[in-house]
Amino acid sequence: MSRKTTILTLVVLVGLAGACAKQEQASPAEEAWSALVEEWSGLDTAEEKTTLAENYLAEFPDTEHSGSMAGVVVYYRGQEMEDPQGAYDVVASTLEHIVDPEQRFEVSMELFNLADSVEVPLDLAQVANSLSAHRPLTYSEHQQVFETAVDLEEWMVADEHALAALDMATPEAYRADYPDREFTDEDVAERAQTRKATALAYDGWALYNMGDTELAFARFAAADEVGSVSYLGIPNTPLYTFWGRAAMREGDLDTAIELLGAEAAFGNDGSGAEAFLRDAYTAKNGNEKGFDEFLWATRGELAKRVDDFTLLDYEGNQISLADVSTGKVTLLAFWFPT
Amino acid sequence: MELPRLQPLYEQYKDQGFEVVAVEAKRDAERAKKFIEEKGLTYTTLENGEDDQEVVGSIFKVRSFPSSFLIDRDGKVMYFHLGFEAGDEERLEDEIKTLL
Repeated sequence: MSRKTTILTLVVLVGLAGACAKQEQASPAEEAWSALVEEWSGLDTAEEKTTLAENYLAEFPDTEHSGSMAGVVVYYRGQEMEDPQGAYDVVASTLEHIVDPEQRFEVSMELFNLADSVEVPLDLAQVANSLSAHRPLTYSEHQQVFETAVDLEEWMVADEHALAALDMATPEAYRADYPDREFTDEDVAERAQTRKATALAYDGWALYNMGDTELAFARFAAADEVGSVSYLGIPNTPLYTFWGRAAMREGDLDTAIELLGAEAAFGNDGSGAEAFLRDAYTAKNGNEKGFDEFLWATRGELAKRVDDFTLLDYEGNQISLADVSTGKVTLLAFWFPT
Repeated sequence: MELPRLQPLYEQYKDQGFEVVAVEAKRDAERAKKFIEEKGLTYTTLENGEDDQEVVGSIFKVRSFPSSFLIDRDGKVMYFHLGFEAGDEERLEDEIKTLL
């Protein structure tokens, strides 16, 4: 499964980390939450994490943490423990007890993450409309809806929410979503660009599947022009996967291979680009002989030299990346404690 | 990739020239040190810098965690990995073995 699940999982953990900061409330639900956060960091197995989240949801189904706890159940029980039906049953029965419209939306969206494996008898447009009847959706909520709509192949829903998200792809809208946080102008500009590129890429893919080929390719080109790219120089959106798949369906195999090749070169990002690249390569060459070598060569061509930096270790020594990595194979990992 | 899952990979391949450098992005030194100690991590652990010394966002454009880059012996970035899902270790280990 997908980029979406990975990102949701990260959101869950960020949610837990963020929750550590506030400790003034003393309601039973908040006390139980503080205890949960404390216990969470000592847990190693999916079973332990699932149990903790499920116990919390059973006792306190309708709190501001319902969405993140439902996310824990969907990820750890549904995926790691490979029990999607069990995860569905737990979260669906929690949903019955939730009145708060925001939490109903969050928990419902978690259920859609299980739609690959179990039947989810919810209507995506209706889930979104229930929240928008209460207040306008944020960019992130529109994004959740259009990503889910693409997974479910509900193209008109994807188009509607990608366009709504595009309207919110501005520095002003970004700041308005996070009123308590301070950002530099540069940061906000960059994040607004990422929003814009994401919404354009998804809208292009929705339009392509609705049969509006010309406008779809215009959207892809516009997303590319925004130029929101990762450290490796590849779009930090699924743009090249969507665009490459559309090119392949149009019979333009060279373009498909170029775009999917760039997306797949540095590993599986959850967009499934490598499998689509293999299809395009096979279509062009008649068979998949030499595919692995081709992918390796593509990577070599696109790879960049890592930037060096110097930081302190926990003994106060200045360490540069080059000091420890020169001549070695190095995994550079970025993390924070949850 | 979750940090503790990197420790066995590090121990298995360090003699063949494999290194792990983990940078803690949010400068939460107290919890980071506790975590590193509790989980018995013995590879290089560094703390992100402040302001113009900041590297995670400003150089590597990393906004989601955990994120990792695999670098070959010539210093070229050959693989990127976001998040952690069941089965990720196998893929990462394959990539490491290919580069070693």
